[in-house]
Amino acid sequence: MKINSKTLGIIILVVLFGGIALSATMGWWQTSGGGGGSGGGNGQGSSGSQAGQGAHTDEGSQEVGNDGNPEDRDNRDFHIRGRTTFQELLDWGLPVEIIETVIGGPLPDPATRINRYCSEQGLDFETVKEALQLELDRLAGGE
Amino acid sequence: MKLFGIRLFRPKSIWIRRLIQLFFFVLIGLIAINHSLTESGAGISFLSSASLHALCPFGGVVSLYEYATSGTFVQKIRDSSFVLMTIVFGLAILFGPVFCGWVCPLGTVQEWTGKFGRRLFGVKRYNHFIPIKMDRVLRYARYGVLAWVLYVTAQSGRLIFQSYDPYFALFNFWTGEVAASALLILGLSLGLSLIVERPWCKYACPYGALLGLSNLLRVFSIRRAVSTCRADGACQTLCPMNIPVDDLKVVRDHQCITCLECTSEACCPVKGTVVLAAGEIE
Repeated sequence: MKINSKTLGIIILVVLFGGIALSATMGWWQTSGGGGGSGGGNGQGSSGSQAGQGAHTDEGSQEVGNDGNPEDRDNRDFHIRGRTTFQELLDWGLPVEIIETVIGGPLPDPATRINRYCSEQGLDFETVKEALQLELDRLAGGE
Repeated sequence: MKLFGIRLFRPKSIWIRRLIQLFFFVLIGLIAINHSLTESGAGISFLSSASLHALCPFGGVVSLYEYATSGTFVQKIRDSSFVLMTIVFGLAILFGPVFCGWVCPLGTVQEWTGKFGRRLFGVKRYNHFIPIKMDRVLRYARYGVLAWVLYVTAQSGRLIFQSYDPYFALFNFWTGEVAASALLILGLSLGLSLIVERPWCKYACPYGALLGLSNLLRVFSIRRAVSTCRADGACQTLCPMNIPVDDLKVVRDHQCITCLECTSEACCPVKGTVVLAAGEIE
């Protein structure tokens, strides 16, 4: 049985995107979420655990205000993004000690953007973001 | 045009492969840019903003140990990496490392750079600078890289390879997250592409090493009909991975990337002589 290049090209595209579509239907296609990674905090690798964190996935994230109020916590999406500052974390109720533990040093000027701080300190923003997000989620969940 | 019986340029190319390569390069590039935009609060909503780690099938491979022993992923790896790993393995069992030859954007960029090298040095000299003996030994280096990557990832639970990964560097060089070592390796790979086709793939890519093993058992292989072969050396000269196709009946070389450039659809002048097929062809 011979296969020419056009057929092979079509098979590759169909299998790749068909496989992705199928896995998305089954709920296995998760490209974001704080659950994975032993290095980024508590690892919870199953898709189920990540599916529950869809509110702060890379896709479909919502805007977050700067004036966090503990009373509004249940109705707000505390999603760390590239422009999020340390002040916002504090406003959302994250204790200074936890922030300092995650970043491995004293809290910088609260007005500093987290991603800029990571870049200056040679830290991986994704890792820090996930760890802080996990703490925020715990806080929001009342753990 | 021929010189000493060797065809000097290919009359045809596998255009659909070029098209698919371009498609994946643009797609991954756009997703990487959108990821950066999303981080700064200005992402494009209809386009995925997943991180490159989530879209890398090799991420699934390096996470296997972690997942098997503790049920967690290596840092930054997601379910999607496992899904892609499974799909790519499935394709490899059927057709060999088509991911390398048709999808991987880093391979594509090396090929594009190689076009300049081919123009500079000519088809016959380009990709034939490294002495054969040294080349043969160097080609096994990627298995060492694979073993090292798997070991350090299993040990640390972190993507140590990111600091050396030219693929990550290629699509993140603007973010400030890329280690100098990764940029250096990317620069070296592209620089070497001017004299060797796909140097990263040939000598260092750990995922290519793993997928290359599928050549030993793949269902559809590159097969040569000995009875109609002119043995003009065109396939060997033009194979990006320097595989002596005209000496083989079935290509089982661990470096084949199923680019099909050796087949009768591209450089082989005799119809039906070099084909991708399952089972005997004559």
